[in-house]
Amino acid sequence: MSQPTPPQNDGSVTLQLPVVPSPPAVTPVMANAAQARQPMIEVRNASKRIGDVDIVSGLSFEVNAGEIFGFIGPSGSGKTTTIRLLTGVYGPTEGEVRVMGVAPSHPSRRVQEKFGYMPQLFVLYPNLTVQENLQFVASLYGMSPVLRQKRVSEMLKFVELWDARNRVASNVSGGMQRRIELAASLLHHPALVFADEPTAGIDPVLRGKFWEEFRRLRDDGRTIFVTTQYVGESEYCDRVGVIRKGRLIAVDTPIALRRLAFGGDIIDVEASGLTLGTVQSLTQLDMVKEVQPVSRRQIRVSVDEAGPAIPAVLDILSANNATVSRIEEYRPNFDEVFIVLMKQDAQHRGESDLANDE
Amino acid sequence: MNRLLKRFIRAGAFISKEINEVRRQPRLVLSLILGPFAILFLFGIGYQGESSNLSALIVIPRAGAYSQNVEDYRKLVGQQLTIRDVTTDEAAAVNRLKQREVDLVVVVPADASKQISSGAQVRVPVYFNEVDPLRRDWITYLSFLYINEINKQTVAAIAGQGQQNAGDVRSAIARMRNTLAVLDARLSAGDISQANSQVKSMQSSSANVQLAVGLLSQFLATDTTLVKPPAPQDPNQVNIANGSQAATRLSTDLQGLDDEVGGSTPDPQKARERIARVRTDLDTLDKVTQQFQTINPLVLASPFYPVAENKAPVKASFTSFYSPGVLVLLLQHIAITLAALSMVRERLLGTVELFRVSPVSPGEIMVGKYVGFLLLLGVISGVLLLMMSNEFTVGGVHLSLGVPILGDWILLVLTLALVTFASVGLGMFISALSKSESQAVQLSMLVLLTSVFFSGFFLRIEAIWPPVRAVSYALPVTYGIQSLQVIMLRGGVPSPAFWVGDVPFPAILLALFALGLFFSLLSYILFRREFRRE
Repeated sequence: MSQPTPPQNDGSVTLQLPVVPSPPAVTPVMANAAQARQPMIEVRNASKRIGDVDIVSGLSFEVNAGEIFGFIGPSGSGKTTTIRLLTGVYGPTEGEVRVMGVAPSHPSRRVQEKFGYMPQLFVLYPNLTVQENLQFVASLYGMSPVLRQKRVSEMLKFVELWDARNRVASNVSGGMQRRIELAASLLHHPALVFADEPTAGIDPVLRGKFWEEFRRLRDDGRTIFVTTQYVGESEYCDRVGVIRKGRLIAVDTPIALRRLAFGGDIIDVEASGLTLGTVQSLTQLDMVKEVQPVSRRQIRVSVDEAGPAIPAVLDILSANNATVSRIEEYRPNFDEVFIVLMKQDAQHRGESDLANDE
Repeated sequence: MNRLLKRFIRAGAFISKEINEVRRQPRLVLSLILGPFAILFLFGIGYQGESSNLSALIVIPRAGAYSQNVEDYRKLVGQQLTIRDVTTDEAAAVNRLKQREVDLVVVVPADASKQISSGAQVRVPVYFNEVDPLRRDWITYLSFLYINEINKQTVAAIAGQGQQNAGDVRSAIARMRNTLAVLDARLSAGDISQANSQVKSMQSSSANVQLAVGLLSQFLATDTTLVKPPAPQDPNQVNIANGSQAATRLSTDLQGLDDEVGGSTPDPQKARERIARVRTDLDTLDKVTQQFQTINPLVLASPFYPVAENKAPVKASFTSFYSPGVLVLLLQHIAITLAALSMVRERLLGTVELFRVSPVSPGEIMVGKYVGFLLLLGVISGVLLLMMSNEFTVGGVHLSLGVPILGDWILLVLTLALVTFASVGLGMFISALSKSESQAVQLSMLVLLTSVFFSGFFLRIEAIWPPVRAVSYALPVTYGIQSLQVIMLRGGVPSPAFWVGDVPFPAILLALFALGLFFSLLSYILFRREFRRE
């Protein structure tokens, strides 16, 4: 694994002047035109009831081939149930789930051979060595002994477990066990990887490595469906689905979700000579939705889109003799975005607070 | 890649996984191989057979000429009974029995002779205090044996008395011979009247002789289930069997002599011929009586004694006899426990979810596990057999239990393989029913307990009520024990067998295979249901 880029957990990016809107964190790379046309995953109004409880209901979304699709929600919101619906462990009580064009609850081996699955917990054998565990998983996918040996060696080196290959799995750290699971899910070059909270409980450096690998796989044309509790990791995804209490409340790109939460982009301005006239002038602009004074030297401007709005705001400030010391797009971190979305959904459902969300 | 090859690879994943998992646990390997051997070894050196020795108190009547010396009674009994004491206090003896200080109290009746004389059987109370049904039956049987022994000695005493009485019969015959000589002399002298008187005298003496000899001849020539008296081939031949005929003939010949001598003009020549016949009859009767006297009274009382000869090809020790059973029982238990825990662990580890997402099928998982366990248990069986068999020597020193293996090794290996196959199937079935490791272990232990009681390991299957015997035949160990005992200790082929070409194949192995198949299919159905999407 090459030197990773540490993840930025707050999700914010500070821009220096001249200000330009930041591009999406990731760009989906489609393996080919056919893949681009055909959604890898299609979920139509799917529900899963266990006993008398609706674990998830009314799920509808698509995941395109060659993208990282993040599935974010609080603990107990239905992420693992959704991944089980997609992998075919569960069949939907209602609605339809199609993965690679087939219902995963009635999968063909050919389709299953293209799945990679990284469960939430370590589910391999504690009495086997790291290498034996990977050999076992490779055999499950029917890999020949020669190919198996080659791939296991490659993956052991890739996840930096080569030196630990002969240690029994029960004697390696939790982080190492997650790496074994990651390696196991990728051994057979899957076209579609399901990763259920792959970064839960591991250190930030390792988390960064995982995301780097997901991006590499995505760039290689593979599709990643990943659930996470770390809201900040949404930035690494091409698109994100937000789930709360078994219902999908939003599906979009990370930037679009932020706009959805806050009604557009926000520009923070710090300047001397700010007056009421300056504020009024700013509100005259079509692209400005609202101007909020924060202090005598600071205002927060809500716009549809920060990129084209910043030059216009600078012009108005200059025209009103305000001396700008700092202007930047305020990018609320995804924790804030997430909380706002959760609150909006709670309000929409007529719930008083988020106390019941874990 | 060929789909079939992929199936093999997927099943192979479980074969190597199961072997590696066991290999990674040296203590488990040690307990799997050395544990059973240690049990067999301890059993071999420790088990000395069922203890049949019982302690007894003899209660004799206060009155009468009964010996109070315990040694006198000890001489009467065999090794199974140890006479602790002789007492006249029945209540104290029974109290000691209740305290379990002794196993038996035998009460000698006070008026035995009187009862026998009056033609009644004598009741001999034998008290015991036993809750073990096997031991209870053994004591009852032993009581029967000892009473038989007493009866035998009583009959022998009576027979001895009879032999002494036979001396009187011989004296009577001698007297009849003398009378016959006098008769002959009187006839020669022409004294018909005296001769006639002598004949009458002989006729009255012969009645007792005929009765006595007739009885003892009847006694000796009694036709029983076991004894058939030989048919007389030569009427003049003297033997015990024709003694009765001689007694009858004597009567006829004396009557003929009486008729001849008692006539008005007896023919001396004919009369002498009659005398010669009577003499021959008396000789025969005397020889019969003499032979009766020379027979040992104990032979008369107990004419048969057994000479048991074991025609089995080997005189198996307790260790040898029980070793096949222990081997199969251990094999079944290990197989069941490994298989039962195996699938439960997969479930608890969460790997089942991984399997559901991967292209592996329940059938491939089961086949892989089956083959893995067969290989593992094959190694364990091989090592155990080596340690058991009398072939295993190092530097000329036997390091094994010395259990003979007389039969066909192919049948032996086949039996062990099929026991393993069926046991793994049963273990898989338990695994499918169990939700936790403790449940799986508990059910495995229940099967072990059932096996001890129902497999014929200790108790004969024939002693089990036939409808309940179905439990026995639901256990792989039952077939394994029956088959291995024949193969190892008798060197034969378990019957019934059918022929495959020139080779006899035991039907019991086919039944074992069918049992294994049944459990496997049942487990497969349950696992498929578990793998079905929820």
